[in-house]
Amino acid sequence: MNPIEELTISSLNKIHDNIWLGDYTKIQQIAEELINTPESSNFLKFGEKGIEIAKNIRKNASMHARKKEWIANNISNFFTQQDLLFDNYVIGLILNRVKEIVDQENNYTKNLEDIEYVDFKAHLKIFERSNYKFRIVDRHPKYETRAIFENKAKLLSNSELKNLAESLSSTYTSYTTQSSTILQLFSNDVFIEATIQPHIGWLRTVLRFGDQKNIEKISDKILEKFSSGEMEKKISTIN
Amino acid sequence: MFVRIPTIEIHRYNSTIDIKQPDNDLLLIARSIRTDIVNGTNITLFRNVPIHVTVLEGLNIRYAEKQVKGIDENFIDYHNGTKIRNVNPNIRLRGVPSYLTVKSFSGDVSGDIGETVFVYLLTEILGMDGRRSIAHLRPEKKKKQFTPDFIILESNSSLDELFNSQYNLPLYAEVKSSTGIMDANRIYNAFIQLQTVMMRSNSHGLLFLLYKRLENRYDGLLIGVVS
Repeated sequence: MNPIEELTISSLNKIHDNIWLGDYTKIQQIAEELINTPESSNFLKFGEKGIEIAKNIRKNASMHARKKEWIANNISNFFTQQDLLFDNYVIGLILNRVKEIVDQENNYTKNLEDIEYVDFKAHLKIFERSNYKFRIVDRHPKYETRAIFENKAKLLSNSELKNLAESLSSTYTSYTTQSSTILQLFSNDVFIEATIQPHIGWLRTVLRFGDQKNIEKISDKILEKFSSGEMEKKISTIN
Repeated sequence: MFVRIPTIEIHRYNSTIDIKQPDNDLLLIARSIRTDIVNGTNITLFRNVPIHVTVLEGLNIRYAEKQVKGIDENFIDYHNGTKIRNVNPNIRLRGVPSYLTVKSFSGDVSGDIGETVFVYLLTEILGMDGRRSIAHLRPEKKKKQFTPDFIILESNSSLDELFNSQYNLPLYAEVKSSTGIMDANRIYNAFIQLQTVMMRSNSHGLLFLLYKRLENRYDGLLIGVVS
């Protein structure tokens, strides 16, 4: 496995996570870092070469009755003639998608859900912490907290979950899968459903009293507990 | 407190499909797979997958192609086959031929559920690292490039069962979903799509089908494909 393949996919998914969070500066940074790796330029060319081949294939296929079948039976000849590996073309295409982000130079429009806010950048306040960052989407009395962990989130034991629930004066139920924890906290004044996946946290809270300040405190309490997971192994393209 | 969690039975197809075959043979294979789905033959239970809908929604937002939010609620309706019934008014308006008395299921939502359940299986049941090793390539496909739905860059011993050996990376995957029994032509189309992208000899691919069979609930089928 070529490290650039893993780095490309990992960067693409980090970009998706940060679009979800609304951290546009980070999106730009991840995209630039990926595009500036020495191997990227070759793969970008593979992608561009493949786009031309694809055009040529479709043009040739239009002369045949069963186009899809004709393409499936003949595509390898086109790639072999141009000395292009299909796997490199696929990674090249993803890199081209990431390059479009770099070319936009931070010129982002609002997410659809932010459309109601005139000053959307002020609305998109991101709370930066040492091990995680989060944003609160305010739909009073319902609130959504979207978080990204610096390292992989920690899976908590039953006693740790119990302690966390007690610190929020709540009772709780929890479920775990191979990768995620779903924690539901109940009290007289608040209901919280926290979904913790390896790299992201998603809290949905309904408050009886209080405002966004309370949500900030609650979010910190929960995210802090899950945030001290193992360090993510850095992917290096330099062997 | 008893909480009923919806569960999907995901099966594996007992034969691995060699994709380098004439089109007519692939069509015959697709038809026999459809028959096997209907009769429950030639398939083995792979995993019983309890679906935690909030996790499903998290994956939906980050991995699925379409802008569909609230899949946590939609999934339950689609899984149970519950359709929204509207009240049919007594007065028939002129020029209005029929009322939306029963809403039909949306193909986009169904497709979204299929893609998300596939990622759910890989990350939440098989423990793959979604961030490092799974990417959705539909944006490229929509730009008329030749890509599969998903590229997977991680080995997983559970998936080896589908190929009777360790599979080679990258693994390309196609996902098809339906709110009824899966149509043979759609299975055939998926084979043609995989044939297009699996041009290297000895490469491996996956076809994931999500469909309805018994009791109107979703069932899944994983089919290993080699070239």
